[in-house]
Parts: sequence; C-alpha cells; structure tokens
Amino acid sequence: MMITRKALPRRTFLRGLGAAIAIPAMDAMAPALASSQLPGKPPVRMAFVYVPNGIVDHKHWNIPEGAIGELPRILKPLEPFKNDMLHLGNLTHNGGRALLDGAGDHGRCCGGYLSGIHPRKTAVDIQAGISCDQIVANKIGSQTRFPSLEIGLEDGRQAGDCDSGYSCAYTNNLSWRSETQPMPPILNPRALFERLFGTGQVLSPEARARQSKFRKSILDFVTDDTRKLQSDLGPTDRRKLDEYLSSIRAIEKQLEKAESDNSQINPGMDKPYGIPADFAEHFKLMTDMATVAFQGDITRVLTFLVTREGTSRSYREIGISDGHHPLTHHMFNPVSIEKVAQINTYHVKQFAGWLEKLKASKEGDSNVLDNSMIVYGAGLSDGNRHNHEDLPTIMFGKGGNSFKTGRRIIYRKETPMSNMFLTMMDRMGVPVENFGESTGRLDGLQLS
Amino acid sequence: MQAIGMAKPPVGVIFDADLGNSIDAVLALAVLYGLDGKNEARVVSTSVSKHCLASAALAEVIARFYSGAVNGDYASVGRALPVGMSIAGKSPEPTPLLAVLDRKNAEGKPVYNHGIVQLNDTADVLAVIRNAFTSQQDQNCVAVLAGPATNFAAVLGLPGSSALFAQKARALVWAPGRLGLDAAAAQKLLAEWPSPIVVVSPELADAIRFPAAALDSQFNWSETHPVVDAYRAAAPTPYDAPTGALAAVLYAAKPEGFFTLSSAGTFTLSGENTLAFKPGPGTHHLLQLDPAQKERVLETYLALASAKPVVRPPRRRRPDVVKPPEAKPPAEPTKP
Repeated sequence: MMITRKALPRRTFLRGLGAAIAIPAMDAMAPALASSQLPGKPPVRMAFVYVPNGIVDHKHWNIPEGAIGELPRILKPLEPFKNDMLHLGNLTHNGGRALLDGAGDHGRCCGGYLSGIHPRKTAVDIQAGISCDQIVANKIGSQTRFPSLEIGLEDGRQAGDCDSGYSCAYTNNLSWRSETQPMPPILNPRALFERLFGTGQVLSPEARARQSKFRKSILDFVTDDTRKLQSDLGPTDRRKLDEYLSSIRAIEKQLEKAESDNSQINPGMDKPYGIPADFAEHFKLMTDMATVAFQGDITRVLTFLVTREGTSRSYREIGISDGHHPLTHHMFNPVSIEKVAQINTYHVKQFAGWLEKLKASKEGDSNVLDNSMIVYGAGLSDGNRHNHEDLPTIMFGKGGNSFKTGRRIIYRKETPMSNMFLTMMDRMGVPVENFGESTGRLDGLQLS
Repeated sequence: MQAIGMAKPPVGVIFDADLGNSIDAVLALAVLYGLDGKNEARVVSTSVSKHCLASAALAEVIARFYSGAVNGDYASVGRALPVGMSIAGKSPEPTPLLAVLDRKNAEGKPVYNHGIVQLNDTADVLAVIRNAFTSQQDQNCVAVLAGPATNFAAVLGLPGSSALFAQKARALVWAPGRLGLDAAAAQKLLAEWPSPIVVVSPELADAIRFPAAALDSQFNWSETHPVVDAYRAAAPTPYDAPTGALAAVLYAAKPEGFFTLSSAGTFTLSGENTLAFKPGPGTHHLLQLDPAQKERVLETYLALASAKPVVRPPRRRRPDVVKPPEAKPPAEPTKP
C-alpha cells in the first residue's frame, strides 16, 4: 500500500490579519497508520492552580488512603473526576516555615511554592528561586508558541510590603523566571485572548469599541485559512475543528458580555477593563482560554494564581461579605469556619468546571486531561494554623498515560513538595537531579 | 522556631540513633528530654537509623512521655515532632528492647500509645534532619549520633547540606556503636562532616555505668515508665548499662565541666569497624572521662533521665500582618 498524503504539522496556525490561531491535535497530524504511542502523540502539559490561605479543617479535604471513595465536602464538586485524581498527603514545604524570619507565612509559602526555597524577607531586594514551571518552559518552551502562561484573577501590587515585611512580589506571583524576576499573572481576559490569538497588543476601551464596529470575531480574519484547512480534513477532524473554533467564539462572546457588563458597573470599582465582576465568570473565561491553549498546543506550561496569597477578597456572590483571610483566622468560631469551607468549596467548584472542559477535549483515544498534570493546591495547609506540612495537594490527569490515578497516596511526613516537582519535570521530559528541597522523587504514582 | 531579636535559645540537639539496638541510646533520649524540660537544651529532631517501625515508635513513646502526653493528644503538647526513619534496610529486625511497646495494661490495652503503625507515619529522614538544621541559629545546634552513621552520612548527599551543617552546627558528637552495620556511612561521615566531630571514648562509656538499682529508687514516681520498661526488656536485670550515648548528649548541651576533650586529630575506621584516633591536624576530638567528675556525671545522668514530664502549651504562631491592597487616591473632581 502506498501512502502519499503527508501528515498535518503539529503546529499549524490559522493566520489572518493580526490573528494566529493554533489548532488542536488532529488525526491528520498523525502519520498514516501511526498509533498514539508513536511520534504524533499528544504532548504532556503541566499546570499549577494555587488557592490562597490554605484549606479550612482538613476533615473536609482529606480522605482515606487507597482507592478514592466518597469525597469530603470541599471536594464534592470533583466527584466526576475521582478517577482522574491523585490525592497526595504529607507533602511539605519547609522553606515556607519561619526559619528564624518570624511572621510572614503568606509571603513565604507563595513566594517559594514552585521553587521549594525560602524567600528572602524583604520588601525591596526580592530573592526567591526559579520555579519548576520555568525550568520546564526554558527547556521545552521553544516547541510551543508560548513557553508558559501565567494567569490569575486578582489584581495585586508587585512592590511594597504585603505580609509582615515580605514583598508583594511574593504573595502576588506564582511563577519565577529567576531568583529576582517574578512572572506576573495575566488577569485581564481580553489581554489573555489577545496574547493567545492576536498580536499581543492590548487595545484601549475606545480603540476596542472602534474595532468592534468593524468586525465581529477574530475568526473572521482567518476565514480563508479555515476553509483551506477544512477541505483537507476528514469528517472527524472537521467536527473537532468546528468545536474548537466555536469554543473560541464562545470565549469572545463571554468577553464582550463582560466588557459590556463592566461598562454598566459603578466606575468607582477597581476593575480593569475587561475583567468580569463575577468571580465564577472570570474563572471560567480564563480557564476556557487555558483549555484552548492546551488544545492548540499554544503552551504546555501554565500557572494559575487564583487569588493573591493572604487575600482578603470577599465572596458576595455566595453571600460572604467578610474577607477570606480574616475568616481563616476563625478562632474556632463555627460560623467563620463554615464560611471558609464555603469559599474553599466555591473555588473547587470553579476548578471542576475547567476539568470538565479538559476532559471533554478529545485527543485521539484520550483527552487533554489524560495528557496533563494539573496540580490544585495551596501553600499553607490550614489557614488558621499557618502550617507548612501536609499541604493540600491533588494532581489531576495521567500525565500522558503515566500515572495510575483514582487514589489517595499518603507520603511519609515531611516529604518535600519539591519531590513532586522533580517527578513532574521528569514527565515533561526535563529531568533534573535535584530541585529546591528535594530528597528524591515521589514513588507510587506510576502505572507500574 | 527561634525568634529574631531575642536572646539565643538553649542549644538545639538533632538526635539520631539506631534506637532499639542498645539501651544507652534510650537512656540518652531520656537525658535529652530531661535537659529540654529544664531549658538547658532543645530537642529539635529525632530520627532512627534502624529500619524498623518499632524503633521509630519507641522514639515517639519517649517523646510523648516526657511531654506529659502518654495517652493524650500528642499533637496538642507543642513538641510533637515527626520521627524520621531510615529506609536503608539497616538492622530491620525487632529486638528484645523494643518489646516494651507490647506492654499491656489490666484491660489488655497498650500502656504506651504512639501513632506509628505504618511507614507513612514516620518521616522522610533526610528531610527531617536537613530541615532541623535550617531552623537553627548559626552555631547553636549540635548533632548527636548514637550508633551507625547511616542517616547523617545520607543527608550529606543533599545539595548544600554540608555548607548548612557548617553554618549551623557547633559539632557532631558521636557515641559510635555497631559501625559494621554501615561501615561506608561511617567513612563518609568522618571524611565529609564539616563541623568538628567529637567521639565518645569507649573508656568513658564503660567507666560510668548506669545503675539498674536506680530504676527502683529514682524512677518510681511513675507506675509506667518507658525507659524503665525498655531497660528491663533489653536484657535480664540487674545489669549496669554503659553510658556512651548519655555522655554524647550531656556534652552536646554542657560542653564545659563534665568531661575532658583530647587535642585535635583524625579518626579513621579500622578493619574491625572501630574508630582509631590519631592526634595531629584535624577537627576530630576524643571525649574522655574526667575522673574528678565521675560521680557528678552519674548524678546528672540520673537526675535528668528520671525527671518528670514538663507539659508545655503548643507553640503559638505570631499573628501575621497581611496588608490590604492600597486604596486608590480619590479621583480629582472634574472641573465644571
């Protein structure tokens, strides 16, 4: 049998004026007769989703060792993903502890979360460490349009003192390119959209209003390329492409709605243009784009600082007008504990929405979630006690058919979080001997 | 945790032993907790080089006992430290001494409660030891080792650990024993440990014997005492145990007034797995008996080991000062 058709390149873009849309993995990208185990198999992605102020009362979070049964209250929204998770216990970040530096757990736990180091206590000459996502991005970033993406939902200063003498750079960034250079998260959905699909230029509200008069969608700019590509695709790939482009259009519509809603809001509110007032909507917009970024292999590395560490954001959308951080110091007041549990659950619920999207994004005989390692966690264990051992940590996805999920694994006490980072870096094809506080690699995750 | 701007706290002791293989390490832990109770030392970490859950469990039982939480909520007493345990496979067998954990009360329930029943109830020993050093002020802690060097040698393999130990530790005080269990570790430790090493001489260990008779006379304030039970379980009584590990602990906390120190030199591991000392250039020393202090040393051992528990409240966290986002200045009034 002769095979004459060439496979579609893995990095194919639909291009148009000011637009470059990467397309997701297609059957047409795999060489004829190739299986998913051969070149052309989906890439492995890595993401860290960080929630602030720890988790209240671990009885609502922890589960027995072994196969995952019923999930506790905070994790209930993750019920459909029980078989996709590795619920990890006893992972510790010693660098988050005081180590003679006194108060400032919020600054330390976030500033060193992905690097496994002890940040310097300062509001001026910051010093943390290169984070594991950036080590991976440096090594494999050239294979994607963006080496990494950093996103978040809450505006925050990048300088000044945010926690007992610790710079705001520590509490407001998750990813660090170097010891002294944090990677501020993109907060504005419009900015993220432009970065992913446009020229990267963020337009002013006035310029955007002018532009919107003349075009309806970024997809309009890539119509020719889309038609050409569709003619080369089989029915399955055509349907996949349609779904993918529809999801981008849906994001655009959400953005337009958010921008329209924002224009109705009291201008005294501290909301940059394009940021939805509603937390859940903002979360959904950002993670919808993260899904597209993973689907289209625009990046393989993502960090998501849900809100700033130590944040006092209130959650009026679920009836909580108190600040998150003050509530976590609940003095064992059951009302406060209940409110923090509601906030923790609310975060998990939004996150579950993202997982649903990732799981629904098919890649050959698997899906994007299967081919990812999505860590949901916090830098503090219990927000009231400010402890740094047994950090709430759940990894979702099989890392590309590598991990046996659906289990709770409790590691030995004091096992460094950095051991998990080493294991993840291995799976990303970036093995390093030591990292941060590592004492080895996490065992027991693998399929065999 | 030590706080900045305050007077230096008592010396921190990072204690490692093949607990269960000999009674002197058990007695040494008792002395160490006695010193801790008197604020003359701080137990910073405990770890065992014996690959045996019962060994780690005994370390926790002793910690619980001296913190007054034999059967209570251990986590609430303020010094519930995780016990690091080696998984290097050295001397995994249970010993008669460790049978102390099996003692039952009249209702058939264990006399000594502990929380170590499976591997993940113990701690990653490398992390425990390394982390213990990171939390100490410079030159304000001492590593105390009783038995083989498995754990301290292994932790030297972590990047940056040697510099960390040099910065933090005054010395490593070693009561060597059973070195044949891990000769390679002993050689590595002697070659690479960055701070001075003080080795308890066999003569010192043998010269001062822990009197079995004291168990009845000085420890009888408690009906159940894990150290007493361990002593009796270790070998048929009466016997007077050597005290090398106790000397290591006492010297770590009180380097002046009890013992004499040799001039500098170097230790090497002999073919018979004993340490040979050669005076000369080097940072190793031999800890020796001061005959004039013999009685006083023994009295001190007994007083400390038989001390009653000191119950301390949990360590309180200092309140954090998380600043809210800066308020934006009010908008300039628009000119009419």
